[in-house]
Amino acid sequence: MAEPATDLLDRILPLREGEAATAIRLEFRAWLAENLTGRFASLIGRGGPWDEEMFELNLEWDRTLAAGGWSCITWPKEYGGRDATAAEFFAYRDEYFRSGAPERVTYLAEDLAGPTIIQHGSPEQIARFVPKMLRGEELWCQGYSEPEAGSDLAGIRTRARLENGTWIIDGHKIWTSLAMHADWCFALVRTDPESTRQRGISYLLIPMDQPGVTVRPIRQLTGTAEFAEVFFDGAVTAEENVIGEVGDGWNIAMSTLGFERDWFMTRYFRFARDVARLAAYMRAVSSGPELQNRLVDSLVGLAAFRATGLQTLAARESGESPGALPSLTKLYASAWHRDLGELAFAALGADGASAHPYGTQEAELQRIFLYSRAETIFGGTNEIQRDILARRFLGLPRAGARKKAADVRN
Amino acid sequence: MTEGMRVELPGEGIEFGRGLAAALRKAGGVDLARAAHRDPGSRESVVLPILEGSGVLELDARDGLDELTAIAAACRAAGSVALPYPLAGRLAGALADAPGVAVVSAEAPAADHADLMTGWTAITPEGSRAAIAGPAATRSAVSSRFAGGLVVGPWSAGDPAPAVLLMLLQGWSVLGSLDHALSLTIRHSRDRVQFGHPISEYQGIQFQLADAFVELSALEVTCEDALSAYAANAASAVVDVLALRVATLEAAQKVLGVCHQVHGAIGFTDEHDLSWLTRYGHLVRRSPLGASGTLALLTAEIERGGFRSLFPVPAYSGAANG
Repeated sequence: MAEPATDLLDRILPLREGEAATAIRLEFRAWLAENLTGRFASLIGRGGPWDEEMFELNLEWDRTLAAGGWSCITWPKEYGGRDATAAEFFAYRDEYFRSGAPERVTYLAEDLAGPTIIQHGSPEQIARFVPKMLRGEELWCQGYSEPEAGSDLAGIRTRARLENGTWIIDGHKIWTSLAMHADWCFALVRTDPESTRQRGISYLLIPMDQPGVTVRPIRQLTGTAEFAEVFFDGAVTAEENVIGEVGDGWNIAMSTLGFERDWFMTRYFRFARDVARLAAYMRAVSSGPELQNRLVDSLVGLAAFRATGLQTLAARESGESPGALPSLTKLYASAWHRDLGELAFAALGADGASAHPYGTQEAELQRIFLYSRAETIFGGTNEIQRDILARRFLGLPRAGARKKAADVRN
Repeated sequence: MTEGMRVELPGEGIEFGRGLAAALRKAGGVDLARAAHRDPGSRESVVLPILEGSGVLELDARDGLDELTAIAAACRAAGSVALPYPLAGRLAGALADAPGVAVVSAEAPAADHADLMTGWTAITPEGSRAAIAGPAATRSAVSSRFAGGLVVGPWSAGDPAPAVLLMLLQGWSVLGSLDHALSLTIRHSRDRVQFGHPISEYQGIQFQLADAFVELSALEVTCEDALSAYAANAASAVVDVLALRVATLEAAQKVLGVCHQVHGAIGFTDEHDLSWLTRYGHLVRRSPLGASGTLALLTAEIERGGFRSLFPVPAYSGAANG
């Protein structure tokens, strides 16, 4: 009988943890055993933003987690969290993925919008939005990218003007995950019409259910449509629904990016589960030596990813800047995951060539392949990460800088 | 490969392929694949008549280099628009006295457009063959809604010739899809402006596109050489064709990797042609064997019969030192 996938990983990459983390782990494990049952058991091995069929049940599950005190645990206690440390959060996430529980659909609020509003919002804004985010009563989507502003986020054109105490928004956002389900959108919009680039952008909160907002799902290579375009045509939001100062949105957004530790947390456990699943499959089908070698490379990469990720968390917890680690990790991990996807597909062999029913081992491995292709693009492309590493951390000049210097000399 | 100079492929055959490509573009190009996704019947009501009209289905691969070149060029044209019809399989059928063939693994026979293959012959790279009774039960669609398992009759041993021809034509098909994918990507890089410049101006992008171009050019040469070898002596061309398959799989991974990276997120959407070209190759790159399986088979064939390439590689005698 094949060893359970997660135990295989424990044996190869054992993790040491402290008492507090173990305590949370055991408490959560018991809660999961009691609650991931009945109807919710059908979410095991399924769910996540791309599983349209399971969305309602997934949302109900997220709300159940919240009601049980198991959502947003890194938030401050005064806002309904547990002030969990990085180590405690790591243990919590590990237990969550071991149980097979589905990816969350409330993650945009929990990981991005919530922490941003807690950090930068007024007491009134916090009171209005944060409790409902915690309970999963209101769903959020992120309005950042636009057709003309992908990697170049500062090039956004969606604009908002203030008229009689109301913001009126016109523009077009794209790659907005879960927009079709969201109640609110936290969006970067240009509020100073004379401005260009990072200046004159504001961080607005916009209700989605109104005539001026149209959502159009985007179907893609995976066959799923969890992304959407969002069109704002005279959409409105109250004057007070701006986070921080008007015109200071870029800085707010940049601090949101500081919540990258949670990105790592989500990705590591997903990656670890993918590797464990693939290893079990390769054992079952007796994959040949060439593929075995590649799997070993994957395990080494996974260990490296975990090490740098934990280092990043430790730096943030002690108040230090994580420096180049987030960009380095993203660049490394996305290429790693793409390679894992290729390996998964190779391991499937001829069986991977045709479609498999949702939830089967084969479908899971195919899914790894299809989704991992986007890793080097979302969350900052490989090219952007390399630019950041080269310029900000290696101190290398921008292309054309030498020419400019030559012009000055002449 | 014949010793001495490389054979220049007949111009008429190449021209035939270009003509078909033009006809397919005029009929909508990749939109034919989109239409088939919505309306599977259009594969036979719209696509097949275009192929019939071009005369490609009357060509016979056994009739010499001219016809073989035209067939290969036609498959390249089909690949360039991710044509939703198993043209290569249909054209290789003559060698099996069947309406068409699919090259499969015996353990998990599968094909793209499995539902159009009732009455065709399934054949493994070694030559075992079985009649195709029909598509296996419908499954939820991933990437290509027409890719699926085949229900086949009992297997019997046979001549691998139809499988060898089909794998040769598949190489040409994938070549066509990669060629068009790279063209789209170059055009996109010129159109896409970020940070105030078309991204084609960034050296990092240029280098990636240049690398992809090198891969594509090498694949084109390999396709031509394999075709020449097959035309010269089909019976001994299995090594050349398997080598082509290995080259095709490697080139596809590298070229499509660059194409998707340069396109960014839009490259995965249904609205953009790239994602259809990528889907087109998903099955043919896995079935009957992926890269390592094909390499293993190629190794076995070289050991058995040697390989006449830039320099001759003799068959493995078995008595040499390990």
